[in-house]
Amino acid sequence: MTISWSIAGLPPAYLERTWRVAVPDHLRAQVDDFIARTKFFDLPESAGGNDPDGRDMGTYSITVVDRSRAHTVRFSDSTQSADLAAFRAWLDQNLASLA
Amino acid sequence: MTPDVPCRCFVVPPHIFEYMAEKAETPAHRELARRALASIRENHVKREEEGVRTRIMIDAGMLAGVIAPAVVHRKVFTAHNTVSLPGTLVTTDGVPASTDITIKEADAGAQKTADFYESTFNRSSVDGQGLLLKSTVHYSHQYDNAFWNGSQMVYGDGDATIFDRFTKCIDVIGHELTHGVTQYTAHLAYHNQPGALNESISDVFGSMVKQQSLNQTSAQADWLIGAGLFIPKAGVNRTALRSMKAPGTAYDDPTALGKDPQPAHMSQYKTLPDTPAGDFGGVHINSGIPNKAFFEAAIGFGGHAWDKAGKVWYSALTGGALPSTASFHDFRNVTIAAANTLFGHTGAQVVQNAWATVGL
Repeated sequence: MTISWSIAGLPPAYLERTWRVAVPDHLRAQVDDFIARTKFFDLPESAGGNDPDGRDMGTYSITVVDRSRAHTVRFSDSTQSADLAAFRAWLDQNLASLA
Repeated sequence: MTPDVPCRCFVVPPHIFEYMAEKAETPAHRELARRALASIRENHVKREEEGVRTRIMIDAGMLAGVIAPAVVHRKVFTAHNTVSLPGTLVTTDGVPASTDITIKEADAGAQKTADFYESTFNRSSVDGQGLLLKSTVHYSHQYDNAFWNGSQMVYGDGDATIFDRFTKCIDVIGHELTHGVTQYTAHLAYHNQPGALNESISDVFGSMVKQQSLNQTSAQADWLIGAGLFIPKAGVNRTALRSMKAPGTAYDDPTALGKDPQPAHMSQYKTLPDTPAGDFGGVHINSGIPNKAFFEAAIGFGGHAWDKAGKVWYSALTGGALPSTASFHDFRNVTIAAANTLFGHTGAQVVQNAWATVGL
């Protein structure tokens, strides 16, 4: 399984930053748990952009490739669910250093 | 009115005049409001016919003493490290007092920003009508950002490795609240040059909030946005998010942050895609150019930035002459005209020279 994720609109760089990681075996169960909790492969590709009057807000994407399945979800500070936010935070904390 | 007579202009919604027409203290003021209403209606019909958005400008001096500034109330919420907004209410106008530093900073920063707008520009809150200022702290988990969502401020705790908490810097709080002011006034679009102006205006007023809180003159100020926001690291430059005085020099940390990409001159303007990945045409990047112009204007006028340069920028933002699609050149022209109205030919020359230093 590989996961790539990106953020854009956050300081200091503001431009899009992307990470791509092959998920280590010992973290696989936690990733599977996030995929199940978010119903990741059933989510629409785009959850929508930020509020029209929102400023300095972040936008994000997560792509999961797992054998024959591949799916990308794009979301923002306005549209992220608690579970997606937790998934993204977990990726930052646990996989970014492996990219 | 002659060009030499100082004049401040406001965009006043009709309901204020409707209120004044009935409630103003003196017959003269009630009559003034009735005449203004009649003028609004006449202009509205005419402009609707011409397909032009209606905006009425009046001399702020006419309003002085007529409309008491509305009291600006504040509420601070905590998201408890979730993404739920606004979250749980913690304090209203500082009561009950909190021991949480982020809550205290968010509340104090909102109050100082509101005080700045009221004392300097006679503006009551971001909408000019005393809008409740809502702030949410502890948003998400180790969130490296602060934002305005169209109705409230939101602050992350930072990751404690690169970023400290985002309530730490009063100029960041002033920056976010000023996005609200822009939303209710010029409503600058958030892409390309109008987007960079939108960001710059937030830096300009955020910096002035900080300078006024420290009682600094333009010469004394550091002109940094977010100084102290980065966690220090030996051997790299983590001074601030942005430098208005010297755009492009605020940070240089090859492994964690890269180098500050802001240009200081139109010759360095960065053409980027109008997408989230392109920062909507570089709104946080090309803002370095008008930021530098404001710094030069403030230094050119001397004294406190908010006394002259700030009043010129505020007049340009709120006076009704700035389209939501304004380019840097449009904004240059509006600020020069505002300076001429407020401070005569000499003032206009200061602003014109400031823009010339950035190639405009």
